[in-house]
Amino acid sequence: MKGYILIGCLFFFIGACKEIKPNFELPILGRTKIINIEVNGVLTKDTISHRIADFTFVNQDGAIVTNSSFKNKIYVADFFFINCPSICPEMSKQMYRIYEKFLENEHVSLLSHTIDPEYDTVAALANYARLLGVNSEKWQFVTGDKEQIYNIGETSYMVVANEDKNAPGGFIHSGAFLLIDKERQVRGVYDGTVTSQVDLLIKDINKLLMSYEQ
Amino acid sequence: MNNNYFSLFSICFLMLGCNSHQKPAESYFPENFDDVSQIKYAQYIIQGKILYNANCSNCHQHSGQGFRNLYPALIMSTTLTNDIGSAACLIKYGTKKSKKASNLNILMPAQTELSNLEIAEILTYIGNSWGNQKGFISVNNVAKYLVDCTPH
Ligand code: HEC
Repeated sequence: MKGYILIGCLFFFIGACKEIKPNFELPILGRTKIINIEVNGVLTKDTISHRIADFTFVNQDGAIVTNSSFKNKIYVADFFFINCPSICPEMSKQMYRIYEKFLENEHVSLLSHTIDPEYDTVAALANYARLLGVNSEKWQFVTGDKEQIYNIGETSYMVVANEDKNAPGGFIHSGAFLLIDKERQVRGVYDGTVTSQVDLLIKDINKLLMSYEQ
Repeated sequence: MNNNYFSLFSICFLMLGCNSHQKPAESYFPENFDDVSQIKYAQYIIQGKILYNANCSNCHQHSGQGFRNLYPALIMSTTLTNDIGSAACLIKYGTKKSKKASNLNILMPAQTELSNLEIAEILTYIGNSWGNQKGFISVNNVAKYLVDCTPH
């Protein structure tokens, strides 16, 4: 009996070891789409990865923010609202850690979408950013058309964001942080309320940055 | 029968033992209390810490230092020192939303589900931690404070 347990443990350990690949690349998340393309006049099929859809929002300075605002940048995205009583304060605190870590690195940006655009106007977001003490070069807070925000949250970033009268503060949303690469692809999903998850995100940002240097 | 009493006694003893073990280091314990008040005070502080960590620390942080300029520090808070009654109202009913207050304010949310006892425990804890020395805040105190809150 003891022997079996020992062998079991051994397998378990071997299995566990296999999981640890020190230098593995970050996955590309989301469903790949198969599309028809023409190569040299011949119709063939190609796959394209999941990408963040086109968007147009307004940031805390009243400036227009689109995908091209993140050209040649990797960025971390999340969904929040100013007077969220539950998880957002912790998310802001964790996002602020990332802000401080990559303040000097022009290749890294942060993008927080409000899911309460009616209350979180440009002026309210500007005030929030001021109280937080962050600059809009590095960390943009965006508002805009509510449907567009919910839609991009669910279909591009694959997180939950919606109104819900029963949820604390009136909105249901996930505390996820999403890591987006320069090709608009999702490279990681992290729990923005958990310090160890954000530690991992910081590591992954560095890993992703390195992959562009090679 | 005797045995039952004995286990009951042991449990009480253990609970007390645990409690005194958990006495938060950040909190002030007045020395001029008699034994009964000491125990009651300690229980409020201990329970208050649990409630604070569950309901308040996401904004004000575990050690009361607040976060940036978004959430005020409760360390040496003048509100707690000079106007603990308004702190009770704030905890129960949240930031008062005046009609003309712009959307710019960061609001403290109402927590109407907290009982007077829970508010007393929280106030005793935060009123006597991190340098605050407000002394014991009883349920009766809280009941009085809450009568004076302007509803909103
Ligand atoms: C969602 C974030 C949030 C939560 C949760 C929260 N607060 Fe606050 N608190 C605030 C903000 C913002 C202010 C400042 C605005 C105001 O005074 O109305 C504040 C102000 C205070 C003040 C007054 C500080 C001063 O010196 O003026 C006290 C005391 C306080 N909170 C205690 C608590 C307690 C106790 C709890 C838990 C029962 C709690 N807060 C939960 C955000 C929060």
